[in-house]
Amino acid sequence: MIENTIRSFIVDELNANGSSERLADDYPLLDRGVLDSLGLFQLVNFLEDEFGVEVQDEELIPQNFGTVRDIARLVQAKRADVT
Amino acid sequence: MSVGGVTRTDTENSLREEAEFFWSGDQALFGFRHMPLGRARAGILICSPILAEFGLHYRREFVLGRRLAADGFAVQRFHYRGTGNSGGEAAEVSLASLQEDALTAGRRLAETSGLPLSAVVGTRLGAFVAARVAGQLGVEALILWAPIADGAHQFREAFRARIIADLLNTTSTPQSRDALSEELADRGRVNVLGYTIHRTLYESLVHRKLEEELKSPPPFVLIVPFGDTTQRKTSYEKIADACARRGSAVALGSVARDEPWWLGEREQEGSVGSHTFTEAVEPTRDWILEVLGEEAKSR
Repeated sequence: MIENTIRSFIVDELNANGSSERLADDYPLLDRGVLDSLGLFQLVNFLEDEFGVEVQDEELIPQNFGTVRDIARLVQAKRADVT
Repeated sequence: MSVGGVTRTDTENSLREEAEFFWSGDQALFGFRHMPLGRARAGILICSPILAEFGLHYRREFVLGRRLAADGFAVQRFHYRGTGNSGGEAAEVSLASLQEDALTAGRRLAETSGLPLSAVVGTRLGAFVAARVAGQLGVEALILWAPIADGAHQFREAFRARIIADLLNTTSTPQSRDALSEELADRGRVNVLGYTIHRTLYESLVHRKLEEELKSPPPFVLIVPFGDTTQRKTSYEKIADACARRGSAVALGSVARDEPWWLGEREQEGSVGSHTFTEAVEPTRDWILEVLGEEAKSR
């Protein structure tokens, strides 16, 4: 599941506070400071590497990275584009 | 010719360190040399990165220099023109000027140690410089720390870092990559999180690939990735394969964690800095000892 992969990366690699269970799909990552600039930068690189997608600059907007669900939606849309 | 040299002797570690200015064209380069107290076995030049990564890797390169000097090697570090403590203008820095400064620093090491250059180390963008110098001087060994494989990719990441920082800064409006490129073309420079990328450097590097700088690689090449993403692995394996096809014995090192650049390092336990510090320095030292002479280890 894409959401779990993203969540694990945020918790394990970006060392976000709390457990992956507590980081719900709709938890506000940007508003609550879970993702800072470095974290977001690393997350984008991770998405590209893990899911084989390329995130365009114009896609770097809060609507795409506000929550785990938003990020998963972006990845799914981009994977659909690829296939 | 050099000016203003100062020397510190460290008898406990059997080395001395010399800081000085020497000349590249009409500008003073700042140099720092790590020398063994006895006769040096071989000369090694370290080519640093620039901009945000200059400071990020500084201490690691310093420690590598010290460790190698204690093992009997003469090691030269330096600041390129337009960077750090050296003279010159940042706006005039290009891949060619970086290469010229590295050659000057290599010559300075040869003058002071009485030894030809045997190995070159390059970190990040310094890998491009090191690869060029290694090819030009015909050294024995080339060490590439987290090398930038593709100039275009480097600038893409830099612009992305700026866009992301703007995104999270409520007082800034994120600019697109195209807008940043236009700013670079129109104004001759663009700001990326406090670091200025000048058009001269951009144009000299954006179409360059490291693999193309390694047409005549040295007999021994060590590539040390920082981090293990698939993209990075693939690009480094490609470089390693190219060097091997051209006759080099290539080793691929491993440093588990990525080094975050531009955006800095997190302050927390087990931070990337502490990981990459020892993971990069010690295996590199061991590899150099193996390649350039095991007997140096027993000094």
